[in-house]
Amino acid sequence: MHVQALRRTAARLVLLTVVASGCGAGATTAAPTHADVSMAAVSEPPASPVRPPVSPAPSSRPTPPPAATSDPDLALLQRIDSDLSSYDEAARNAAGALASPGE
Amino acid sequence: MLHAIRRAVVGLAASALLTVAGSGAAFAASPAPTTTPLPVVRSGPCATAWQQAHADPSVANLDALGDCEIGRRFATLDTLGARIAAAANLTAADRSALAAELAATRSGLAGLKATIDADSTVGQLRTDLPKIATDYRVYLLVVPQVHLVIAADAETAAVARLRELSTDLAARIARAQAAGRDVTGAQADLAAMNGAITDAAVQVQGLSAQLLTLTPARWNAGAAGPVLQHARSVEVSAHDLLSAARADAAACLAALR
Repeated sequence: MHVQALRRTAARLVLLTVVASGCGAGATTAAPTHADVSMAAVSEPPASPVRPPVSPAPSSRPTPPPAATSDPDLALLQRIDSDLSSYDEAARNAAGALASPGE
Repeated sequence: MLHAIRRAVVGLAASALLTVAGSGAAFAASPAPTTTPLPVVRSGPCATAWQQAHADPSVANLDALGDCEIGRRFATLDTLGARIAAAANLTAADRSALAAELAATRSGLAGLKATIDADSTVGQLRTDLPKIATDYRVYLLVVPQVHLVIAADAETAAVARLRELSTDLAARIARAQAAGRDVTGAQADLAAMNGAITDAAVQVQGLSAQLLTLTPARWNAGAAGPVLQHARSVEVSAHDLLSAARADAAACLAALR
């Protein structure tokens, strides 16, 4: 009986390890978002009807969402970070548009 | 750098559209309007149409040029619409105002396209084609306007959340103080945070509303460009303050642990 319990525990540990490693892989291979693609279209009207796939540089890829926190103030900080990220993206697009030399 | 070059190329094509306007004005007093050549645009979204119109400024080629220039503006308006829909921090009023502006621009351009398609002389087309730029100012006004309003509303949302956080931090400090802890550092962080929030709030106050008053006519009169540039400058300054407030908040939280 004791041996069976140990085996079950070992099996659960293996399963958890597999799940955790899968999550980690997902977090480090974030795909470009629709927003990335659409903003390229605004600031850069395509030169031809066939637009090449957009592959943003690693530095411009969206960061994975932070882990949920039980501290409401830390959660607020994370939402503020999200607001400022939204600002950053819009500000970059505005700067690009304002630098446009003509209509 | 590549993007800058592309923008310059697109801008060159756009400037060429305005050159048509100048030509149109000149032609209005000229008995031979078709003798003035169109500018050569070698790249950009409508380069082929420009080159064909330059080589042969016929009604068909000028009409095709107009269709291309209007078509790329429709594509830009679609993309802006998606950005507005996805902008989580836009207020309902600003979202509605921007959507209405895009709809009006699209409707106006559709009407102009019908007019251009119905034009039967080069003279008519040289009068109507420049209106694609001058009557709607999609790239010089609408695009930056949409992004600046989204940015301003994101900053306004950050101000509200920072104020909420400030209230929470003040309560935490009070509890820590009642428990006999030294809260001098946390209090200093909170004071700095509140100062930055106040300054940022003053800067972004009314910014979106100001941006939403801008029109192509105001751009053509030279009044909208400075407002856009000023808004951009204000937003950058407010962002610096909000980032500082966020850092102060994090420091305050750390000091209370």
